[in-house]
Amino acid sequence: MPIAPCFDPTTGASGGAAPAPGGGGSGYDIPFGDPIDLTDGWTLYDPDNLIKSISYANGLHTVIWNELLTGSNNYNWASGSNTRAPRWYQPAQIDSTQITSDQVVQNVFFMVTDNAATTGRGDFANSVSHAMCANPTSTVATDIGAVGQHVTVLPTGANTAYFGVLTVNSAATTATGNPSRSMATSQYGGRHVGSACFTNLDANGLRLQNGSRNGNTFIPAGVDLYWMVGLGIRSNTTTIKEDDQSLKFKIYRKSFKMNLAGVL
Amino acid sequence: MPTVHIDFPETSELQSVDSTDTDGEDFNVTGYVIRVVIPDDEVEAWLDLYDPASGTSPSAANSRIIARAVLEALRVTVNP
Repeated sequence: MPIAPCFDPTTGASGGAAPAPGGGGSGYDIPFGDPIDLTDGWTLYDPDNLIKSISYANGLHTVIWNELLTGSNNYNWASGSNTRAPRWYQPAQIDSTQITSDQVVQNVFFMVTDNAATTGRGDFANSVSHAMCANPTSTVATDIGAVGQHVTVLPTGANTAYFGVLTVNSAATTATGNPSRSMATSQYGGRHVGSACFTNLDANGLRLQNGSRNGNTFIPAGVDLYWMVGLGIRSNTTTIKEDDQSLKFKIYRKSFKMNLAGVL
Repeated sequence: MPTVHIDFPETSELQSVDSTDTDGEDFNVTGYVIRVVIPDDEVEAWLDLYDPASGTSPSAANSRIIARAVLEALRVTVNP
């Protein structure tokens, strides 16, 4: 998804509005733009061939799975040291510039889910992670280094979506207020996965619940970073039947790299 | 006698946590996250009181320091 630069609203010059006297500067009402389409410009890494198909319509992704006979923490993004769950990824480029692990980036993630029992939440207890990462084709959680937004669902029941954040191989989420949308922000990089926070929102954009979580993983120097969307099972014992569907979701992201030259 | 502190403003509202225990066991629990702060200059004193191979260490009196701090945070969170 292209990243729109901020322009000075008066002059049209790139780089955003001129800072106010005395310093500072900000962006107001920055649009998220079109929803992300994982079927266009993203690469799927699925080491155990769990994804049968993905479709995209009206911003929503629908994913159909192959059979998983035995559940394992290998397929739960928020558990265990190894992660073999499927994930889509693309290079993290801002204004056509590849971001590396030496830089610090702010990622703002937004997700909307279809919380209808079974038809929206899917046929099994599942999860979606929307994150920045260091190595999307690794199966070692700390090498992948994913930090960002996380949502889990049960196919039926009163609680709808548990929204929150993923930090490498652990997560904090909440279903308080039965949210169907959430915004999360991660500050990632500087050779570390950083931290993430979230606010779950109602239909008016007001808070239902919030939270945060710290990552504790260093990442290698000078490696290219990626954005990724990982799907998995909600608990380590969850199994999947052939042609089961998972949560229908719509995702947005906006990312920024501040210029640290002159302020360090 | 060493002390601990509870970072009470950081005590979470009810949330679901997927993570790993100190022994490497994965867990998925809905509960309250209570942050315990061990003063850096008391770390050695605390570790001297603790023998992981002994089920009776630390002593009851020392154990209560941590237990009561955590339970008081839980009590105030659940019944403010």
